[in-house]
Amino acid sequence: MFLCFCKNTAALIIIKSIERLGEHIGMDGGLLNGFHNALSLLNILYCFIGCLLGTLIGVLPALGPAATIAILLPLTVRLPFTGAIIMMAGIFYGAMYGGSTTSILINVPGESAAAATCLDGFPMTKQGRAGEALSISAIGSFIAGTAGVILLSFVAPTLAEMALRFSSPEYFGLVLFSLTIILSLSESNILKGVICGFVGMTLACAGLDPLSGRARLGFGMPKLLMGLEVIPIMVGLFGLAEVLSSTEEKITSIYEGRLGRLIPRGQELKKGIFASLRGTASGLVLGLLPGMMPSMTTWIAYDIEKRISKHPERFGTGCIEGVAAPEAANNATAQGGFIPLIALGIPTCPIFAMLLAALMMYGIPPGPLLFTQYGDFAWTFIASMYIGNVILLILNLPLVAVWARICLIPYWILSPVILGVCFVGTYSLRNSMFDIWVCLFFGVAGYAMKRWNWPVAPLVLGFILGPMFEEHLRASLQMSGGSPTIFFTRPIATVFIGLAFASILIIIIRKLWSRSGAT
Amino acid sequence: MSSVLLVETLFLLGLATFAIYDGIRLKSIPLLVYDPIGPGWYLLIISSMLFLSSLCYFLINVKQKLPVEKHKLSLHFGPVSQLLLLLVLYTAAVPIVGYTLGTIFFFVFSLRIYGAKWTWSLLISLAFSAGFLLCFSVFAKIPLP
Repeated sequence: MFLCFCKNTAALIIIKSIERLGEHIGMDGGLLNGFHNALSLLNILYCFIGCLLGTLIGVLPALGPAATIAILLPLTVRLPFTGAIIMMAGIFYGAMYGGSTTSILINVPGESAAAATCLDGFPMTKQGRAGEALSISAIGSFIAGTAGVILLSFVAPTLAEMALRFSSPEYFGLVLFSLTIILSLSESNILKGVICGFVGMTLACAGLDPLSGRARLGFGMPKLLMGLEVIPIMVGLFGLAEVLSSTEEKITSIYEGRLGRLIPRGQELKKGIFASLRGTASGLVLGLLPGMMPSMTTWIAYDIEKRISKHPERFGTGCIEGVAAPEAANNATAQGGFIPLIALGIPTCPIFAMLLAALMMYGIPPGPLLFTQYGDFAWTFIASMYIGNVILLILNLPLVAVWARICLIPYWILSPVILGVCFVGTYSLRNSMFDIWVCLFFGVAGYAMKRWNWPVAPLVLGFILGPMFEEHLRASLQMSGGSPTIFFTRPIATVFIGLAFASILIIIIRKLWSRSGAT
Repeated sequence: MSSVLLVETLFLLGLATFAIYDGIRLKSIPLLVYDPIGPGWYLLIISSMLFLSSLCYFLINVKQKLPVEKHKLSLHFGPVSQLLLLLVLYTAAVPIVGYTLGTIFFFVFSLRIYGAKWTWSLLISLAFSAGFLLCFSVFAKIPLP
């Protein structure tokens, strides 16, 4: 009965999406209107800056999109919100494009999601085929990115419309399901991830309780009555911690390969394109699952490609499919992950959590109300992603040699600048030195967590999702007069809660299985 | 038992204990509106789960023999510690000496930590500080401390 329900729901979403496609493409608040706004000079400029920054961040191994978005978030408050969100999204998917550059050229992944690309990308560089590797990576990323945005255009508005019928119990179930992401993000140690999640949820309680106005976790400090701001925490955990870790690792980069021919030809191009299409399919499907980050789907796509290949022994020696498939999966997951964020207001990874924080900072409610109250913004944003993919293809194909040179920027110049920007950005939020101290504290905490193998992502997700979890739990119990049966008498809420428990069970079983396989 | 495990557990249990105490305190204060859980119970439940999971973590790991080098607290005053100290001094000094002077010294010493020579550090620091002031204060009109 449960499987039947899932099949019927999926069919309903597909049918509704096709029905609504005509309405959503129209000029009245639809995709065409979105393109009309996105093609304004200013929005194209913001998109370009975001894509450029993103590619640059992806190329530089010491900095990630999470750190960059966290650092730039407080500074973008002064920009118009549409432009700011377009820019930050551009940074994210731009980094997915650029992350492969250092993987291919110097065997150091620019992003964790680009690690799988090292396996065949760097051997291609040693064979003098770096140009082909970089090009197929850009082409595959473009195919996957565009497919992801097309799926977003279809599915997000329909999902948002269905979610309009949600009330507090349904949202509670959805947030509970999303919190199980914490387990997927816990990498090798689930208990550490759970602890970090609870730490995040506990810290989120600091400040005045929104329902009763009571002060919680003040630690005797009046400044804490306002609560902890998410931006200083993220700047500390991602930006500052990254700088401290890179200082310890003494990041240097030496590019010794030859670029060679820029575009692959004939059979190589054909193999690369087909591998990109397969990577796109796996990335899109897997990316819709909560907790599936690009860093996971790239490995799955690489594995699939190796398994279906007639010559799996060629993988790891400079096989073009080994570059195309993970890069395509990487971008497909990155762009597909916007669907739950935009349609339901649920972030599936820390970067989306930051985008959620940015939207809330601007007073824009991500989720079902986005398409009804801010339809213009939603479609402009989606249209900008189409444009962003084209900009990224233009940036990455002809400028391949330029990006190769940028790998050589010494870290001792970059690091003080990053720290300076962290300082200014954090201060500019509330003009408060207290936020800087919070940022410093979490910078040290983030560095220690990285050093001692504690996952940071669950802490961030617990902090962001914790207040939503509490709000909907308490509102639901107020509705039912204190009875928890409300969660089991409403079918959608029951399904989400069931999915949450099923997700926990699957992760635990998988963990036990891999442990017994290892022994 | 490694010193790292001790530090981790003390921090986690400390946070959980304080949150439990706060939850109990809030639970005892009557609410003006009907709220089945209230701010106290929710905090109490979450912090109790944090306490229990931290305790489990400690009990699981205290028996394991871990490589001492990896799990030993190092007090070596290397570049990371120097950078951290510099950041703390910078944050404390800026409200007193002002943003411009504080930032110049910050850049000079941070470049020195990374191994740059005094002359280069001073020149680059002046250039960076001027750049920051221009970008943030003049163009972006972001208020600086």
